[in-house]
Amino acid sequence: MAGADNSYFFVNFVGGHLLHAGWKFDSAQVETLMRTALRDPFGEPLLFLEVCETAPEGELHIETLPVHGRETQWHVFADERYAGKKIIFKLVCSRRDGALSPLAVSAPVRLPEADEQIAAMLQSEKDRRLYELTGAALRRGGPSGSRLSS
Amino acid sequence: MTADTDRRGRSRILLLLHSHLPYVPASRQGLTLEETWLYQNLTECYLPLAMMLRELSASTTPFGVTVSLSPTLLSMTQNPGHIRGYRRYLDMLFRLLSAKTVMRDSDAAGARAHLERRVTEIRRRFDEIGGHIVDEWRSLARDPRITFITTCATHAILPAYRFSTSLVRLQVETGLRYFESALGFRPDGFWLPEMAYYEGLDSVLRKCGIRYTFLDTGGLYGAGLPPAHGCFQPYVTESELLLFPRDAELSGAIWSAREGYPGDFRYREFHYDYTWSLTESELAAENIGRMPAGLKLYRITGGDTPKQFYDPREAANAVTSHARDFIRRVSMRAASISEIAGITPLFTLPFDAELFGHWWYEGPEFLQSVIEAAAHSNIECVTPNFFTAEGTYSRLLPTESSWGRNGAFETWLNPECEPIYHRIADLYTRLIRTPSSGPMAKAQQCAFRELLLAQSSDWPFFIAWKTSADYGRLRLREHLDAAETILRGMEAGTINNAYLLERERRYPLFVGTPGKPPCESD
Repeated sequence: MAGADNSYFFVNFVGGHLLHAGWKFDSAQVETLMRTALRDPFGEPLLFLEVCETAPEGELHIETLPVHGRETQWHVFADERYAGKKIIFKLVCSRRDGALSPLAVSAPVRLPEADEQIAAMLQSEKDRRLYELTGAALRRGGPSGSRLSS
Repeated sequence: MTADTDRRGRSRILLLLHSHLPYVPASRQGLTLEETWLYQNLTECYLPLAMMLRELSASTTPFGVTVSLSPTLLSMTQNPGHIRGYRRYLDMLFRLLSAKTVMRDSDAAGARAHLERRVTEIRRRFDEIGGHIVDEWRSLARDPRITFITTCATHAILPAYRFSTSLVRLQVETGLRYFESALGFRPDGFWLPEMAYYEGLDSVLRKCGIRYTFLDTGGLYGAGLPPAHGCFQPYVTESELLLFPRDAELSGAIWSAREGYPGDFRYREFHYDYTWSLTESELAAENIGRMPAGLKLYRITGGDTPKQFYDPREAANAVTSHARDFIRRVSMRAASISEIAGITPLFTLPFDAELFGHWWYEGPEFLQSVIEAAAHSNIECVTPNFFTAEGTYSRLLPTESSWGRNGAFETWLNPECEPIYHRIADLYTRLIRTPSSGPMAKAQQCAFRELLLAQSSDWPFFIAWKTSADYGRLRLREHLDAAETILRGMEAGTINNAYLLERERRYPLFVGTPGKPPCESD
């Protein structure tokens, strides 16, 4: 998104368990947003983060999260549902006619696989033994429910 | 050894030494702690490694070593201020070696004499090459057994900037151009800072003309298909980028503080600097504060016993036995792998070069022993060129990974460091809209330099590991604030030329190198 205007939208996998999205609108976008978007009781536009998986068969919706006010960043816990998936975030606003209107799309981020996904990948005895020899299992830190404390 | 076991134990080693330090300004007089990072590494690592490579290069030993040189390190080693500072450092070290406290300590005599001999040898070599280690690297690069490559301009962790391909390319292109200006050629290979890879980075690197890079083990398993040969062969991506996956196990034998060789009690102690024993007046006479100056006279010792003085003969014995053990481990591992996969394995072993000599004082001798022993075994030390010339490789869709804790950027992309990336994104998107020609051109170039300097992966590393965290925060704030100041001036149409000159004097790198970054669509 960067380059054409004064705005940006990034997503980073942070601390091994969070997806951190950050964005900024330029003044023209803010003007359009304030003109077209539904507003909350405080007059702020109603924004949402749509989280999607980019799979070979197309985009698969994972969840939509409300983003209140004029926040410029949001965190999403990357739990087991995200493991091994290639994720994109879409920043959308709720228009006055009720439809969701896209504002920005992030670059994709692929999250580490869960152990069972790796196990499923290793079909042959040769692959399993090579995997053990690489020591990759000892170095992996993928998303998992047990690592989420809040 | 029978012919059968000989074939089974056959293997190749790709040894890569990645040399990097963040840019630290040179002081005009005295020495700052941060400057001594460079000067200690020149004394203990960069010059000893260059001397080792020179000796190997002069021999007929078959070997291959790959050296990565970061642009910030190259820049410091070429800067007259740092060259003068290094001479001041060496003078100071000699004077500290003659300090009364050291001379009075008769138990320290052997270790002191050893260090004095070593530093004398280093200074002689530094003088022989006219103070320009870059000339020595350029000369070594003519030997086909030694391959030099580079990395990002300021060692940025690239996955953090994937939102803008042009920002990623700015780091990569500036790094390549700076290396070319220093070494005289454009490298084929590229070291990814912190081995941090994200999906799609291969095509960006290929567009910059890069033919190969290195990947951590975690990046192999994630594309739905297991890699055909584990981490024991190179792979090629969809964009025809050759990837050399790291072998974490053999690397760990060398770098692991707990299980690795450097923790042996006979080796020189890194942390305990004899400078701590000097009196205030002895330090004041040298115009230095109480800081580790590189006066290292103890050995690791181990246990709860008081530190003993370093004995170079015992350390040499440890080097010999560890090099022998490492060769044995390589052969055993190769035998297991060839039995499973039926291949001659390649063990890609990338290290921070600073491990060898700085953190592990005897590291250069260990490497030389391993290289020489390998030449008389069924282990072949190769460079990436051996493979780029050779032919076809299995396809791989590598996934996101880095080295370090848990293999997924955690050290650099952590909650405490999040604001960094927000602010860099903000500055960058404003900066690329400023004019790159006319009166604003110089200011834009300065602002880009500040932005690049803020992107160094060292600052979040310092913060995350709480080592020099204050310095990391200080440098981040300094560069982000400087970029903001320049940018606001540009946006308001008022350029403070004196400020630009002052910033350029303090950070005289990439002058003329980073222009306007490539377009997103390029």
